[in-house]
Amino acid sequence: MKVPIKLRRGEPGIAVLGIVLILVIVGGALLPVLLYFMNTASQAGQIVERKTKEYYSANSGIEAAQWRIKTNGKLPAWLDAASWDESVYGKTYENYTLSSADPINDNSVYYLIGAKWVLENLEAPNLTQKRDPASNILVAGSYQGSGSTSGRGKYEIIIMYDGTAGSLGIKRIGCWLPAGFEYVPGSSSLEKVQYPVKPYYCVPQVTPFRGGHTITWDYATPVSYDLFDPPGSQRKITFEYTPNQITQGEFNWVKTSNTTGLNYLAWNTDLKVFEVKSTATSPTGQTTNVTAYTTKKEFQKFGASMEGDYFASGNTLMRNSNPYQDNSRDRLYEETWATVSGIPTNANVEKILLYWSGWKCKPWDVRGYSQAQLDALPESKNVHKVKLTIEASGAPTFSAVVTASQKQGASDPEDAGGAAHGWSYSCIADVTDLVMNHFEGTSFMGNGKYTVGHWDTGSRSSSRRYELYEWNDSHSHESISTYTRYPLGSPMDGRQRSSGNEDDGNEDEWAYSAWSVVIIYTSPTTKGHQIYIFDDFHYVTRNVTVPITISGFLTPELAAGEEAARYTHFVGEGDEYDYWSHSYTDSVSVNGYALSDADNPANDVCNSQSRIPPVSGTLVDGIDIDTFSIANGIVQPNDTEAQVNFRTGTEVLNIVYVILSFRSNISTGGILIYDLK
Amino acid sequence: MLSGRGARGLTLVELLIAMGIGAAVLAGALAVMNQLLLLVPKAENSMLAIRQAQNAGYWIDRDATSAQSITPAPALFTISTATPLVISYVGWDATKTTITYTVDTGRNLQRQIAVADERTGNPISSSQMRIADSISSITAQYNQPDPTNPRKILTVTITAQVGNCSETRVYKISPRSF
Repeated sequence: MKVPIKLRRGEPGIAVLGIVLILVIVGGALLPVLLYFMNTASQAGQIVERKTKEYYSANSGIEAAQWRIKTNGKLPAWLDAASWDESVYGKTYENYTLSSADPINDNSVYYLIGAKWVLENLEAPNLTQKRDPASNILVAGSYQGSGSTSGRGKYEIIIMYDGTAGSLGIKRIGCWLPAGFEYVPGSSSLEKVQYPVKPYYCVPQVTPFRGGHTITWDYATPVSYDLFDPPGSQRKITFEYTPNQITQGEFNWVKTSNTTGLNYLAWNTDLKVFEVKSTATSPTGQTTNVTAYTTKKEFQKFGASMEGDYFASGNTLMRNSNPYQDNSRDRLYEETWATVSGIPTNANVEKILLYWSGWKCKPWDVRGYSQAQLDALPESKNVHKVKLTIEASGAPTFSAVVTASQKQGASDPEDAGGAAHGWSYSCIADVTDLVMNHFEGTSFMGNGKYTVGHWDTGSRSSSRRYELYEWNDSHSHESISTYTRYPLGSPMDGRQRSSGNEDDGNEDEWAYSAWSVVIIYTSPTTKGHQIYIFDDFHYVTRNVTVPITISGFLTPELAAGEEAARYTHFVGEGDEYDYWSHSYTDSVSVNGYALSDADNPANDVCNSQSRIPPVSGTLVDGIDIDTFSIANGIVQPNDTEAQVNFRTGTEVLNIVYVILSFRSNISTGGILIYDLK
Repeated sequence: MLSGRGARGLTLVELLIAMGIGAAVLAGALAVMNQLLLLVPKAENSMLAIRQAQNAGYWIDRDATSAQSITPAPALFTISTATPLVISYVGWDATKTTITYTVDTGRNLQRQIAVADERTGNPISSSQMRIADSISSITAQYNQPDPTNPRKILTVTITAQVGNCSETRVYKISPRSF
């Protein structure tokens, strides 16, 4: 067969070939355009995708920073300090790299966290105070519920001044409300029309600031703090705003006439503002930056309050050996013990306070003694010392005779107009340094077995010795273990007395002797508690109400249903309820709410029944070292005082200490400002 | 087939078959060409519409994330020159940034950004750029969809139309600021 060497005109099928050639030419012309378009579209899509990835990557840095800020123990000490001062604001920001081994969206992310002064761009500090918190003034504020009409919320600013810096003139009171909240003109308590017009009358200025508004009451002539209402330990300013929602991140401040002193400016030191800068860098080097300002509510210390949490336990040194006879504490022990546990392993021990207390019958008649004479009695009777032993796992045993640094004597106020009844005492020793020096280099953080007993023991002279029993937890076959010349309390009758008159008999229901250890600690996991200890010794007679006002603290914001506070008291000489006569014995209330639990009925809360250790331990007869949980509502946010009332009926009480520990709900308030570049 | 002396002509049947085959091939080729010519613009339109919607969403998303204030709210509205979407926020340096989104008569989505002193209101800078075109509609709603959660959500529905191709994207943005 011959092969054609060229196409010839008119050859059949040539038309089809032509069409194919045309199609190839047209397709060839279209293809580059199509590919170019596809390439452009693909690049545009990639750019959008890359920028979106960078944006989310940078945002993940903000999320990580928020987590770090919110979680205790994730910030360096300088940022985690209880309150910030000038040195903190001047520090270089802390740098963190996010997931360097596993980049976010293929982008490397790092973020910086630093401190911002809440009043920045609002007020200029003076050279003396700088940006250090005021030491004598406290400013706080909170949502107070619905306002006077629907849709309005009510806000209250509290100002407290302890008066230690002399007369205080107020030049400005300010409040900042975040974006979305509007001040209701004319609603503030400082601008209500009153006759005669109050010296603090002022119409506030409302100015845009940080997306929200500042409300400032300015006084051209400073108005004395004392002239503001209400009289008492704090001043309050209220106003209304819309909408009726709880604000987040708001703050308040006060500017005073003390322009050159340490108290020129005061603000909510519980509100910290963090600046977070997050940068995402793509593999090709493009960056996206996000700057955010986030807030965190910490804890505001004031007055005598301490920061941390506490564990209180102890034991009696005297108990009733006759189970068929109530309130007749007749057996004095050489020593007793209590186990302290539950303090976190990462805790730092801030204080170890040892309390002991008892009733003594010698001298019997102290009527007419001055307070100084009463206070001298513990030392003169050698009950101002105890032997303390601490056994902790993995550490050598601590043992020492401890001498009280604070000694108080007291007598029944009823005695003055009636019969003599001996006297009571309370001793306090701060053994923090003594104990912690011993345990230095060990893992001791407060947990262990604490044993407290008589410091003077041994055979002693038979003419002046008092029998001491050996304690065992079941109290079976307890026997005399040793003697002392200086019993820490006087048991009910003379059975323990071989000779002498330190135990003189029949005032049975007065008799008690006990001790308690209080450990105050801080730790990353328990940070945010505020403790107030009232340890002024009180001898409470019958049928009276003794009010104890605990002040100088600031209750933080609390979540719904959260425990507001914990309460512990150490009370001596509480007697069991008289079931035969049904006589009222005693009660303890906090802000009007009577305390009680399964072991301590409300009408006889001081019944010499204690759980050792508290709440979950063994029930011990002889002393009241009771711990109660106080629900949210009994103590309200921003309360600065708590009223504890001891009401007695048919018996006498000796209040050694009262401890209130307030929970602080550390929380972040979200992002204040978010700026994407 | 080679032509030459003595060569035979085509029979009628052969001619008809050849014409039939040729017509079929031609029809197929024309159909392919037609599809090619139609599909390219359609794909292009579709791609353009997607990119317009994506671009609009990207910018509104990042601006709304920073927002401290979004207006109007909370009813559903269509963004236009008469009813712009206005997003504003204030930086720590007391500069207020106001971003205004409008859709003009040419169906262009315009993003105007104005920076001013927060307290005095004095302008610091201002600029405008076209974010997307071929926008057939953008609706927005800034409300609190969950009564138990105070968090507000900006829901933006963007529809871009190029030729006969349209693309709709829905963005739900929760501003990060309070």
